[in-house]
Amino acid sequence: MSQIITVDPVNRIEGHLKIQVEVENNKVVNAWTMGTLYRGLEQILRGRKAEDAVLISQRACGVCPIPYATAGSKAIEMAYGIDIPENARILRNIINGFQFLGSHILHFYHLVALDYVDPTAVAQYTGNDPELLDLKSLIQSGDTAPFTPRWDHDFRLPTDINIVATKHYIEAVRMYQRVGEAIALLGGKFPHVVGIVAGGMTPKVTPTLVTELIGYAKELKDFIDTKYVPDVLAVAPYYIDYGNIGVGPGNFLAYGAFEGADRDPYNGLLPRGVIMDGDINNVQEFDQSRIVEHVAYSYYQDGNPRHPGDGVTEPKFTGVPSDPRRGEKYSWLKAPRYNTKAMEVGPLARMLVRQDPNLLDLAAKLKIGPSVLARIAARALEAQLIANNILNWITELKPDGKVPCAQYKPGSGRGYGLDEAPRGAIGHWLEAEGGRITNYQMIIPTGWNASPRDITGQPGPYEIAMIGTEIKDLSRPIELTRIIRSYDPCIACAVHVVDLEKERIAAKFTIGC
Amino acid sequence: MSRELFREVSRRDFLKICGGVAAALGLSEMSASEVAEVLAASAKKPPVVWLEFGSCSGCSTSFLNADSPNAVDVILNHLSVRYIEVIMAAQGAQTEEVLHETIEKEAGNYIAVIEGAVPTLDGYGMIADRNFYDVLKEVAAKAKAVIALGSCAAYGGIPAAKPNPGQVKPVSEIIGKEKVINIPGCAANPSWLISTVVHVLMFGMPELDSFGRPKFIYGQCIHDNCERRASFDEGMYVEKYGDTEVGRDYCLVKVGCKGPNTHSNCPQIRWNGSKSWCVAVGAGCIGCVEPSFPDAFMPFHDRLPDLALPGWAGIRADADLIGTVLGAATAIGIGVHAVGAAAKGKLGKRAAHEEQAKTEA
Ligand code: SF4
Ligand code: SF4
Repeated sequence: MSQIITVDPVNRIEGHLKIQVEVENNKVVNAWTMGTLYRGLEQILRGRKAEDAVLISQRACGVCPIPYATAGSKAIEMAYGIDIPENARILRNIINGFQFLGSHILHFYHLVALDYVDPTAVAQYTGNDPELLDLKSLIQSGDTAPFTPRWDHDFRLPTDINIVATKHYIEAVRMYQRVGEAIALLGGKFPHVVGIVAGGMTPKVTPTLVTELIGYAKELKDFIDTKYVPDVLAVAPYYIDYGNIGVGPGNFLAYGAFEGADRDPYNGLLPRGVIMDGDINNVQEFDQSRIVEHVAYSYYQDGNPRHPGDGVTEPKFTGVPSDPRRGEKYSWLKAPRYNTKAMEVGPLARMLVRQDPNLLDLAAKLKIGPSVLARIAARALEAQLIANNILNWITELKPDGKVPCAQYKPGSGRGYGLDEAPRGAIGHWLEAEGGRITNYQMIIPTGWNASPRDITGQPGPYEIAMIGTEIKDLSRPIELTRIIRSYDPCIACAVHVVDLEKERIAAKFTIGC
Repeated sequence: MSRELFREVSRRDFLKICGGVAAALGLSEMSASEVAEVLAASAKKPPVVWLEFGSCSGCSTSFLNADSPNAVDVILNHLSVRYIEVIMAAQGAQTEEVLHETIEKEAGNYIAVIEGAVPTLDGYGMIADRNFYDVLKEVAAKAKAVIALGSCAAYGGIPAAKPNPGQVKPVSEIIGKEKVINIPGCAANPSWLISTVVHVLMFGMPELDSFGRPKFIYGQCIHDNCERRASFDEGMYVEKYGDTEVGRDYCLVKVGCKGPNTHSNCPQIRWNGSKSWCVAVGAGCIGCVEPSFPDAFMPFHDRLPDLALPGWAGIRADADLIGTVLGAATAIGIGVHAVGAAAKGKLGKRAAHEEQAKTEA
């Protein structure tokens, strides 16, 4: 007998998500992910000055606003033919680099750790650390919100690892503050920055700035090298079965980030590329024209799958299906596909496209596939890679005391900005006339990963990753939430990415990069 | 172990925490140790329910960037945060149980923090198949106070920008103004939230302006406290991003700074460990705390067109004066300031000349 299990809300993610699975003999035979919030930022952007998109589109995501600002700026710079100064390119690498570090640290310690680490083990702590002693007395007094209640049937770590990881949970909040401070030096504040503008960046590049950035970069690198990466490696062996749980579609997409002086996206620290059908050593070139978005199972008027540069969408909420098997629309998310395939984006995709030797070695050593554990490990190794490189980027800066921003005249044109957010590939497509936006489209990371079925019935990556999973306790399906969180969902962004432009001027983008 | 608001901490810690809070509240006359005593006298960690509706999670993220005290400190030691989606351990239906249990057991006792605007269309925002607005009504009914955190919850903010696709409303339009304290900002500065909570617990409801914002935070115009004000008065401006010579931090009004229209203590408390703020990086204020943000403040990088209102208000018009006209005639504030300054002979010659050229054209 099959039955439907629902987890709603899936918390410790960004935004609102519900999942449903069909289970037979404790095995998932079918799965649905449902985005349950709609905002509609692109419609807001229409008719505004192109530059406003840099500030408005960031507000799709309060966790990773920086890559929205850079993708938006890049789209304008392409449309208007602006060449940004070298210092601006480097500062953008640095600010987005810090964004990655903060987001990855937050994800591991504050979003996923509570699925694996048991902080109540601190009750047995006998040392002198004042913070752990504080926590210990709270536990003893029974006042442990918001760390309890929880699903507590599958904690496997020995007490000492639980205690160390909990200590680092507390320290990680401080690291997150440091990231906020470093970003504020370049962007004014965090979250949501004003310092990234079309044409470049607004802060002056001074020796003082360089010095302060070095301080932050070193502190974060130290935390990542001595705590984050070791913690991931310490936890992994106890959950090694997750090295084969949550395997996604086997198709990976990375737009690439952190370009060097040659500004070649295939040659940056995280290069652009595509991997298809699980052939993970075969990295192919990316062709933008092969992206389409489907709405067959999304709360929009039906229409043919379209390229984002030519999307027409109209919301049509048809109710929450009483049974997901009935084939009705079920999500506010659209379903982007590349070359007709559901694609995984994010740290695992980027590190595979990069053919990162550290990740490939680790995967071979632990004998793990593109799974829950691989995603968590790829994220940690990527953080380490970026932390190492931020220091190099800072030393590339020329502290000439000037504002690195190109002057330009707004006009008409089309452009796109492709970049990477911590959660995966982010693309903005812009059309402007006389300085005003006539069309703005975004496809953001969680739009790929959390997509619902497409018109052919092909499930999205989360759904594929859940199908086949064994659930031990049907009332507490922690296997499912571990799978979902390994992707680092950002649902708020995904459902903001909706255009409602019934009567908009049809825009065709020339495709191919 | 006590269950006091501020549990037993070392005196040093306590002073550190309270020093930060006292500074944020502007309580210079009250010593840190006095603040500590008042806080320690409270009976137990006050319960908090934090709900996220139509938001970007930015105000949650901002809270995690709090520094004095920091977020873990607040959560472990100062507040009993029962429901907060972004970090709570509970899962699925369990989270709903926590919510309902808190509402029942702590009726009249808990502070509700609401992040995000509230979609009014059926199905446009749901938790556990219930529309956000129903969840909000239920949570607000038994709350001691409701904090509408961030510009979206306070005034509609980003999703309410024209044409307001989800037909969202601010919290106070769903549940009425009575219990609501607005703490706008995009995102809201964590110090604004924490100092307001402390105010509620220590001194009761803070005094609010006509937009429901605590006056101790939003009572002053940014422009009046800005570090670049001297250049404004001298008529020295950044004309375009990237045009400045080495070392010149001129006023940003011509690249769109909305400081003259905007009311908050950003110039004083700054952001992220007081490391920076929008003007300090040379970009300018975009008016993110105002009720008419963002519509009235776009294009963000354009100087708002001046509406000449000779003799109207003065250069120190407060939020209530300027704000009342923002909705209808969004550009007035800056006009008032420019005109006010010019009238007082403070605006540089170059600028005054331009003002005139514009008026004539
Ligand atoms: S216009 Fe902006 S930058 Fe200039 S003085 Fe006023 S607040 Fe400061
Ligand atoms: S300076 Fe202006 S835009 Fe920046 S945070 Fe303060 S109110 Fe918002």
